[in-house]
Amino acid sequence: MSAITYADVNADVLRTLERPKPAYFLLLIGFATALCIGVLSWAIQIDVGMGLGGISHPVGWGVYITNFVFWIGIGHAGTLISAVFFLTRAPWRAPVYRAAEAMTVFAVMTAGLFPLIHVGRVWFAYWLIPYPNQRMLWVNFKSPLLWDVFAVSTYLTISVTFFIIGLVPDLASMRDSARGLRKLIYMSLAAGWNYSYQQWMHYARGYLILAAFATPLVFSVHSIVSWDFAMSLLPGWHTTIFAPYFVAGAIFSGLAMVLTIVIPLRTVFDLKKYITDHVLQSLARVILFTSVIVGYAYATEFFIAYYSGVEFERALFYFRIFGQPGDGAPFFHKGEMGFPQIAFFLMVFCNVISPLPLWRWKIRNNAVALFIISILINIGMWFERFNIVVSSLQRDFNPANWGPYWPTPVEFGITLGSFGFFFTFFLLFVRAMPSLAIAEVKESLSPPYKHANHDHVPWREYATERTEDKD
Amino acid sequence: MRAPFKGIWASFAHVDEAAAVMQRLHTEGRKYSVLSPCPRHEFYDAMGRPQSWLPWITLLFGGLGIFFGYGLPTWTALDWVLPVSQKPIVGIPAFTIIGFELMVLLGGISTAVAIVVLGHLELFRQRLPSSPAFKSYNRFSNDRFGVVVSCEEGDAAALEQLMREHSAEEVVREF
Repeated sequence: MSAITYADVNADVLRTLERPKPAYFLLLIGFATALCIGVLSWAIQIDVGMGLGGISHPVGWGVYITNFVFWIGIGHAGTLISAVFFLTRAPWRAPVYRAAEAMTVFAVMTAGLFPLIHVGRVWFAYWLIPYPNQRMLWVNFKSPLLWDVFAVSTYLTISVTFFIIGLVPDLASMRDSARGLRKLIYMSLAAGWNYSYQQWMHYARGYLILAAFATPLVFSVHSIVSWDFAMSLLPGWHTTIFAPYFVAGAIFSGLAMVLTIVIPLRTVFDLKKYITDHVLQSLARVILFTSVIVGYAYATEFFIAYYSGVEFERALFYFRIFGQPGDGAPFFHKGEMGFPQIAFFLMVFCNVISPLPLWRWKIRNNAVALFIISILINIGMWFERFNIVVSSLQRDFNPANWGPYWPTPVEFGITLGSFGFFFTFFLLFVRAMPSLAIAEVKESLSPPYKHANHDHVPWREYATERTEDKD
Repeated sequence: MRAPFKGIWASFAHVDEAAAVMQRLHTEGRKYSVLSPCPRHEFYDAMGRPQSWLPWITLLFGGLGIFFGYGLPTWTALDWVLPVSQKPIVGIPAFTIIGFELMVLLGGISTAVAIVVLGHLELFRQRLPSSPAFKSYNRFSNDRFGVVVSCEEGDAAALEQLMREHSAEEVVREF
């Protein structure tokens, strides 16, 4: 990136805020339509009742909780890139972190909708908030579901805070080049930022602290989501591997979504000189690494189910692959394939098999191949969440309790709407805000030095003089 | 009402030249500020590595978060005791999650607010010019570095010479 100047960065980012190509509007219309389908489906469900969804006894957590866990996982990558890779000084982070952070905020917003959808009577959703009821009885602070309320709301708040703090200097930059109403909007959002070092000094320190706070938060939030399941006694859920398994899966799916977003972004806005092939390759390497962890976790689950000798665990993992008579089984039991079995095979194919080509440099260096693999991983991770949530609930300890589950059109509509919600927000964001972190990209460039030989830079000479004065 | 800014400001195209001027001003003990499109360690070094006291604010509010995170669940557990089998009424491991989350929440929000507030408070110590010439110069957010020095009119000539020696592009006196 050494050929790029500071002025180029401003010019290139400003260009992304100009009138976009028609493809942008087509995409926006498509996702807004999906959002409308979701809103309509939800409205129908509120009007008619939760019976419209496929969730019933024994599968009380279906597609909605699957979507919740999936979107929280997607939301992992932004803060991972902006906080964890900031602390580890990953050099490829700067060009993609703004898009990844925006993705995190919108993904967690999307995830936050699903507990509201799932509770049915959304007008009573405030019961989730920790406050005492009429008899001064408080919520149960020992419940993993309440931990989740704290974890997700803290994660959303800190992600939004981190996102806004990162945006402030760039908004000031936009303010300085904008005119009219845009200038007024950017000016009010820039919080009086004037680029003085008095501000940069506190900013740099504060950003580091926020990164240090956000790092354990990244790992804690999906661990806590996993404990929603692992703290129960249900076969398939009650397992200590869940926290690292969920975190690895979240990083895996989140980074795949970053690729899904960033590859079209760099093409549409011509940002290839910033979001280089090296950046995509680095993301692909982390995806490959986490895919191996996820594959290992799948194998461990099966091995431990066998090795534990617990018949309920063994049965559950047998049924997870082969199904059982009655709910449609692919191999040993003749009949149609059940949705959970489809989910299992798609999960294994998309998450374990499809990333394997990434071992080859040529594939990692091919943006089209990366884009296809990232889409497959997104699909696979949705089915992984589905697999965990549904197939365990289908069969508890008592066979009389067992039952099938198929999502209904309303559930599919709301799921489609969640993708519409997420991508509509993201498309509006790239149109209105700098999708490249201007200040951080500049920081990663070679600064404009007058003296090419850094041994003779004048400020160092003065520094030497000052030291001699002191002596 | 505070007195208007009196001093001199200049713009530079190169980091090393602007840092050299800052280093000289710092050595002379003058009140100055630097404007930069992004943080650069050269300026930080030239300013004598000043320390922000922002971490103390984070520590205070993070500590408050821990206090409330453990305190509220403990108080509610003792206020209305609900024994469940042999489990402890005050379950410290379970409350650790609430404590951690509130520490991060309060610590993070206070840090973000402190970044903005402290940045503005510092400007009371070292004011920036409010002239139209300074306000309309918008390249400090783009590709130029600025040095602003408060001084008396008599010192302006020497300071201007120092800045010009270091290839200042524009030097503006404001008195």
